[in-house]
Amino acid sequence: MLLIHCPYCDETLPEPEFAYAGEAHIDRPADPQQLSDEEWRDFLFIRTNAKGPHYERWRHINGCARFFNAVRDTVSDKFLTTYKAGEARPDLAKLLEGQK
Amino acid sequence: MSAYRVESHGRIKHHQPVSFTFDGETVEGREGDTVASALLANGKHLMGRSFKYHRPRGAIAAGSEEPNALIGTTRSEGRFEPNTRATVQEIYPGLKTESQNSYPSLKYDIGAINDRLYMLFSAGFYYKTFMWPRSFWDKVYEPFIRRAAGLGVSPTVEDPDHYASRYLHCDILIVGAGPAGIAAALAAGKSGAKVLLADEGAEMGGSVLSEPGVNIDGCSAWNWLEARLDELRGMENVTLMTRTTAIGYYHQNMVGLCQKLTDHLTTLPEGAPRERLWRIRANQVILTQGALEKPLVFHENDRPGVMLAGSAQTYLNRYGVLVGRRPVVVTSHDSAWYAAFDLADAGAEVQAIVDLRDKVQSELSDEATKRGIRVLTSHTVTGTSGRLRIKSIRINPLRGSKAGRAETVNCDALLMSGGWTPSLHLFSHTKGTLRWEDDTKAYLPDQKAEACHIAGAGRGLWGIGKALTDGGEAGVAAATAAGFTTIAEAYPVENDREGTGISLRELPTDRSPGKAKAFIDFQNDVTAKDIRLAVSEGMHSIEHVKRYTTNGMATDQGKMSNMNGLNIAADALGKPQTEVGLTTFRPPYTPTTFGAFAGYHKGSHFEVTRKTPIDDWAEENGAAFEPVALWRRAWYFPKPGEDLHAAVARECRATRESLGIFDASTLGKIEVSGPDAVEFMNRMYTNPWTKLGVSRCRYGLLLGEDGYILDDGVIGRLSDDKFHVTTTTGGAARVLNMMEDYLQTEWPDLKVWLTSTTEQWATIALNGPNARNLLEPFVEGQDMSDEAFPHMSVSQCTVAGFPARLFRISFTGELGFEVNVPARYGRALWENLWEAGQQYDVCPYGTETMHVLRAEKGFIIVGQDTDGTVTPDDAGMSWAVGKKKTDFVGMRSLSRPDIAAPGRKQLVGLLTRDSKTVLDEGAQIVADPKQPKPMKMLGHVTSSYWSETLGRSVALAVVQGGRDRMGDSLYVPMPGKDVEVEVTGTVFYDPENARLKL
Amino acid sequence: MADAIEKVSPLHALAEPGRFGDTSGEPGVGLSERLCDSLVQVQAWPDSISALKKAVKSVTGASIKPGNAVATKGDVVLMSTGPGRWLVEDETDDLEVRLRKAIGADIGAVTALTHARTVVSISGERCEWVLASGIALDFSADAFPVGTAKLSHHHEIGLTIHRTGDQAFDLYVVTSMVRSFWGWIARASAEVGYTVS
Repeated sequence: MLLIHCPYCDETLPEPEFAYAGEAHIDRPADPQQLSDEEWRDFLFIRTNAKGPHYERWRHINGCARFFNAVRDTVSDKFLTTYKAGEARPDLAKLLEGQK
Repeated sequence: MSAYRVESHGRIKHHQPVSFTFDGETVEGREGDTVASALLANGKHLMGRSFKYHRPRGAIAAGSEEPNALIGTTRSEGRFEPNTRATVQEIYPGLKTESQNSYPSLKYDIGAINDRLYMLFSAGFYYKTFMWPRSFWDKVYEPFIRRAAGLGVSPTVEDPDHYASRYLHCDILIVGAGPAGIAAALAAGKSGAKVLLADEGAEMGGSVLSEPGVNIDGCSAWNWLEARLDELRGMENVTLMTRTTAIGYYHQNMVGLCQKLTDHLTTLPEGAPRERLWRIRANQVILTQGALEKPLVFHENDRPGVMLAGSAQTYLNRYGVLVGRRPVVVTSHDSAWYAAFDLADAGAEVQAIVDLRDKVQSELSDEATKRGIRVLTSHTVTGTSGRLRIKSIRINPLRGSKAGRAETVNCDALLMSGGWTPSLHLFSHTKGTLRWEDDTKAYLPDQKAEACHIAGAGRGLWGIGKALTDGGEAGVAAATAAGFTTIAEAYPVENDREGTGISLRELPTDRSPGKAKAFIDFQNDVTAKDIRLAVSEGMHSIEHVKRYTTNGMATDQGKMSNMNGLNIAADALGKPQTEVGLTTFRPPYTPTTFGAFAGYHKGSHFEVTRKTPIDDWAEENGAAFEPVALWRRAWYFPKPGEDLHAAVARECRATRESLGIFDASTLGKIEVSGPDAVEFMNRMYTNPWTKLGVSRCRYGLLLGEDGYILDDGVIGRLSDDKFHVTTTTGGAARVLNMMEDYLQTEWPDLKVWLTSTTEQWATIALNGPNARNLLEPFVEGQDMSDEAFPHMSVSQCTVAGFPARLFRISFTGELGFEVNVPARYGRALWENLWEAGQQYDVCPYGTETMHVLRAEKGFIIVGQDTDGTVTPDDAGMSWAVGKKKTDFVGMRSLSRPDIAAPGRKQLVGLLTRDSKTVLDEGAQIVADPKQPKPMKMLGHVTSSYWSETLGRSVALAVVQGGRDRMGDSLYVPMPGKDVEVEVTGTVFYDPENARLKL
Repeated sequence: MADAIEKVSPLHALAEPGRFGDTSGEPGVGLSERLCDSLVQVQAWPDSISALKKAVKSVTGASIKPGNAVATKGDVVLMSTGPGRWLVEDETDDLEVRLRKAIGADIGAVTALTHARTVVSISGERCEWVLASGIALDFSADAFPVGTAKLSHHHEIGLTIHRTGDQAFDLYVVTSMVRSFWGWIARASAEVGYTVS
């Protein structure tokens, strides 16, 4: 059972308070009708299958109900950081440096 | 007085006799005995039969690592447990125990024939023996495997006990209360940190309990132990838990503990849970689990009376039991010498100490000589005799790696030691890495993956003095890491027995190694030969060797067998140990009951049941219920003598002819509020919302971004900036999650809030020609005429004096209303309507009638008539898609090539040519039932009912190109017949919607 | 007509007063249920949080506190349930109307949840023990101080938990699930003995 930091509540809480919500930083196109079939397919279905640090979304479903973003290592399962929805991707190199 | 009980030894209460039974025979033990120690005190080594060969077996160990002595225990009716380790189960008056894997009796067992047929059961026998002849599978092999594939027998009645669980947050968790654990707890406890010290045993002390001769800090070991445990008990910040096994070590220092609360008690306290599963979240974890002794691998090393030397020492010093009066000791490690000395000092005539090493320390041989014990260094053991208990052993001098001429020595027990293995199971659960130390032939902890510390024998430090020092240091390190300050004490220790040894594979023998039954995994009957055979047959990965031989897969999870198995496999492979690697350690550390995992969640607490405010009324009025998502819903209301079909037919008739009343409270309700509410609705739903007037409703269709129907429901506009959205019962949480996702992450600029109001409102649906007649007198603040309040309207008014959201909508095709009132008023409103409705013969109906009535009108149920691959057009609902809209969730997908292509499955109606035949839901549809198999399947039946209204069956189905097949005949193959059906439209009843306009 | 008699508690058949579970010593906890007279959710837009706080103050007389600290004044309770969102409780029957008047669509959204939650109160020496039997939060006073509220869940049942005292908690339970919740908390309390009042 992981511990997860909710960037909205600023609390570190056990995993069952949260729900996984897929890969992060996949923005819905502003005008989907302008996309080719291939572009739309990629938006719908194509996802990174990272071994190692992965940008992903979680929702504090049993708490404040906010969606937020996280960087989690899919090998160790550990979270490197969490941050609010809409914030830019954190610098991975700096995060990994911070882990050492 | 038994010949094996030593009154001067042990921590048990010698003056407190306790009787229990073993295989029906009364056995007398002492308070504090385990089943195994009590049986051994009575000279009984034979405790069970092995799994595969049914060989007679006795206890080989004294703790939870025991692979052989598995028993069934019975406390009372229903309180039966199989596969309990006799070495762990404490005795109490009235306990009934029985041996396993034996028929008709433990001493004369038919299954022992397998032992003679051992050639059939060698490594991989599952894959070889059972391959031929094929016809043997059903009658011979499968029944054999079924009988064999499980130890003991399952309980046959429901477990009357209950189980508890608890979360606990602490600064420092210490696993194992031996010398290292206690020293760690003392150091950490003094820092003020919140400390939890857990031990699987009935009492704390670990190896100190088996070493009363050691002096610590100037006291005898046991006095020291008592004083220091008292000190810990006196610390408010320290919790001590016995009979508590750490079963698994999970992410971020979460450790699962299973605490046995009542299995040792004579009488059960009323209502007390039997076990409690603790989920500990610790800032720091200290693992002080000690080490496990390894058996030696030689021919017939499994005979009852052959036992680990350290365990024999424990039986003597903790339980006052000599496991034999004339034992022989065979060892490659110093520790067994000390066991021999303790037994000799307690009155045993030790026949010989056989050491495989050339030389031992002179202190050891001097001590042996002093006690008159014959010492044979550079000797090996090559066999044992005795039917149900060891009578003699063969001892051979070693000439290099060969065994010389054998000598037979009589004995009544054989104590062996092949060295010690640090217990690293929990550490390995964390994915911490291990390193191989060739000197001691042991794996030791290397890189940590969690905030944990390992101390004592768990990292290869032998002796109580080293364990105390190391434990104290670990306590300081953990406290410091958790933000506390403390110092470690010094523990001067006298008479410590540190000891060294070597590690071996199969012992040399003067007989054919191919015939040796030298066991490694005692419970699964895996021999050294099996491991070598597996390697020679091509199993080169240690994980393959494990599965092919089943080595380490018994209930002891390889505690006894893994290291010997790995050493031998490495030798057979001709590789160094480090290249062979280790098999994976998995939780739980010891077998754990299902009850402990289930905790409170059994019986009526197994699952959450959501109930509506009207649920009680339904129950009082005889409703049959069905589960829908987590809800229980009234399914139908049978009158005496009615079955489902009769009740539903009556409910349908009553509703269509006069009036039906239905509890629709489970429908999901979401309030969408804010200045941008209409824009949000436009983006989410397929339909256009801008022009929907206040007080008007619209059927809304929600797609996934992939273009498939996800949910539907009627949506009312309460004001310019507020919508009352309804969802399907099962889809409510999913829809809210999806809406929140878009709102929070895609369109955070929209000023909209979403709130689930499912729980706030009780919803009562009235349907039928008399619906308005019943309702009108109760309504204040809304003109109920058709002109003022037409179909698809919503009003905030008062019904029966309660504030209400009143909808005029219909899911039946009849004149219909849905009254929402605050939930606690739901029952009162229902009863008001029920009473007044008697003049119209109002009929309560359930979900089944609701399903029939809507199917007659061709209204879909999302998830029944759709399956996640149905687009609005597939469902014949293009009318619900706003033609002028430029975007909504899923819109772009509707023009993807596959979705726009012809020949998709479309929702149609089916009418059976024989009107009495009701199709099976889910049945496949074909054009020609005579075509060769496999037939081309065109689609399937999604909804099928007997329609009482129409006097015939009706069905909905998805069929390839269905709308181009109107009037065609298709076939539905059902058991025993092919049913001919006609493809029709989906609306079977009142296609003009005349009945809505009353 | 809409008086208290008509409000049927979802627990009416379950929560009978008395002494239950282990009766050997003093009861470890006391359980009771409470039906809110008014429980209203208020939600602000990102740019109108201070306006909403002001409106809540004007209606209730109490000031919203930062973070998960609960503001109480007389019968008024103000709890945060997420960014920009609060629950307001009092013992009147027109709180929703008053809040709606003070909080226009330009300031935020007002939704009545009076009937959507049922409050289960637990108090007594063993209340932390009982709650920790099924809820993963740390209930020690350091981690969960008096006068704060947290959101959590037990076995799919959403909970808002307000620590009202050193040994007292109010749990706001989703109404349709409160019977299941009561079944669990009574079972978990049985071991320490409990009273129902």
